Amino acid sequence: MQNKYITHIIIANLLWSFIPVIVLGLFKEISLVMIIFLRFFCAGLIILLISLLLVALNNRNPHNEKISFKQLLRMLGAKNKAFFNLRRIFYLMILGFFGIVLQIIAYFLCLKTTSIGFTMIGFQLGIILVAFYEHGVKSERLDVFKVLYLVILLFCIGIIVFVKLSGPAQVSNEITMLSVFYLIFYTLCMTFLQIGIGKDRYNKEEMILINKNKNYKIIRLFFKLSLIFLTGIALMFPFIVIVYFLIPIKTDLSNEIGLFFSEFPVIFSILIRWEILFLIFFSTIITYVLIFIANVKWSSYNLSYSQWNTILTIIEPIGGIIFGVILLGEFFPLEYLIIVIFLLALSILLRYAHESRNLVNSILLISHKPGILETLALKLLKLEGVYSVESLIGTFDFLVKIKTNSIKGLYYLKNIGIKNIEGIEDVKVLFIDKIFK
Amino acid sequence: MTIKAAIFIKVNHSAMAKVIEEFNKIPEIKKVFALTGDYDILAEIEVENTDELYNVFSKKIDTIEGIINTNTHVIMKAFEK
Repeated sequence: MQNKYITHIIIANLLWSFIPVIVLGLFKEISLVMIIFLRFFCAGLIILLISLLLVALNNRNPHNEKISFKQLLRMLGAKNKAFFNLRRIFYLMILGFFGIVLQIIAYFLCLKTTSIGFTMIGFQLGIILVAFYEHGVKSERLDVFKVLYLVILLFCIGIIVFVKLSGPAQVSNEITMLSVFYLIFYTLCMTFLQIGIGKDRYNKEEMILINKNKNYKIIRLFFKLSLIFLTGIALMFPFIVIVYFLIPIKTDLSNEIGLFFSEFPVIFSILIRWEILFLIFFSTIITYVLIFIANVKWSSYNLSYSQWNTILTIIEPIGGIIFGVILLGEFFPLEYLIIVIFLLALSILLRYAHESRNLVNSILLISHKPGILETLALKLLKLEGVYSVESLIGTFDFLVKIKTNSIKGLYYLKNIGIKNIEGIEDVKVLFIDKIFK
Repeated sequence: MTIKAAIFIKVNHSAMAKVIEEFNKIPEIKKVFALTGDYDILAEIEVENTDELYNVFSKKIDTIEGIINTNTHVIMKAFEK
């Protein structure tokens, strides 16, 4: 069954890889700020409506535990302990503004001033930065596969830059300091989004609700995404006003903002263009629906959804480069194109080897002192790596299934995360070698 | 009402593959984990009542050759993320 959901991630990445081809045509006629506004404002509204519709449908079924709008609003007001203890609404606003709006502005500016191939370097740089974050902050192991994976990505970046610099002057745009700045800026914003999006934990009330009604998980995902988009767009307005009216220097961005203001009277005729509709529906709503369904339905025992997502994320730059060459005739000599595609495809295999080699599936058998049975399950479930907790009658009190990215991760989870919980008496580890059925 | 149980099993190492094969044939056993540690296998079983649990255990599991001992726990409640 899991394979079916892997295809969801592949399709979503392929749909995203069409974005550069679509927007490059639009840039000639429409401001990139208008494209961002229409894409995320409309998609945000539609996704918000989907989440509200799902709440209503859930509540119509008498067998389902009710999900109230108040619960969703309480979730927004609650503090997110994994993200500087900020209230979740502020966390979503920061993700929306820096992770979506600023990232896409810089991404589009980079596309507009360079080429698709060159802009795709940002994806590879982002993956490298996330890998260093995982190694440095999360103590993830840099094994031979991961090192090779990173070296290959760096090598591909080198080839793409070489191709860009050696291209004929009339075909290749020059790489300016400003375009390099756009590339670095969008890479940093994308890295922030990738790290930040995972820094969200369910609170106790939500954990209880999820265990009564699994629908809450997908409703929460839709609600959260819609607010990331809508709050990001809301914050975009003061930003563009400041850039346009208060900063005296004329830049690519201020020109785009000026164009955006002048396009407002014809916004509806822009909205109904097929390219904009494609961006809203196929590059945003459908992709996220696919990704969310995969996230919620994912089998717990194998590589996690986010691991597969990391493995397959390279499909987007591969698709972007290929579509750029085939559909827009971008300059990329065939021999170099084949090498880059081959290396990026090889990097998928290396990343898979890294993730599956280091995956540790294990079972913890826990005994505890009397009096904490009711609260312990949720405390255990909140720990990163724990995906299921079963309360038992027998020699042991709890059976906890966990999945970590390394033995070190298991060590931290068992000896720091679990043993520090008050009332835990004994923890036994059983490693899962293989799962049948 | 469905009863779920977790059975931890120690087996003779030469019989490991055979025991797992036998477990895979029992429809009431929903999942089988090959383990390293104090136990060799964890079998998760789902039955309708205690009578059925007894029958599956006595007629299908207890008769498998190679099992050294078992330790069964009834699952009161399962929580998932």
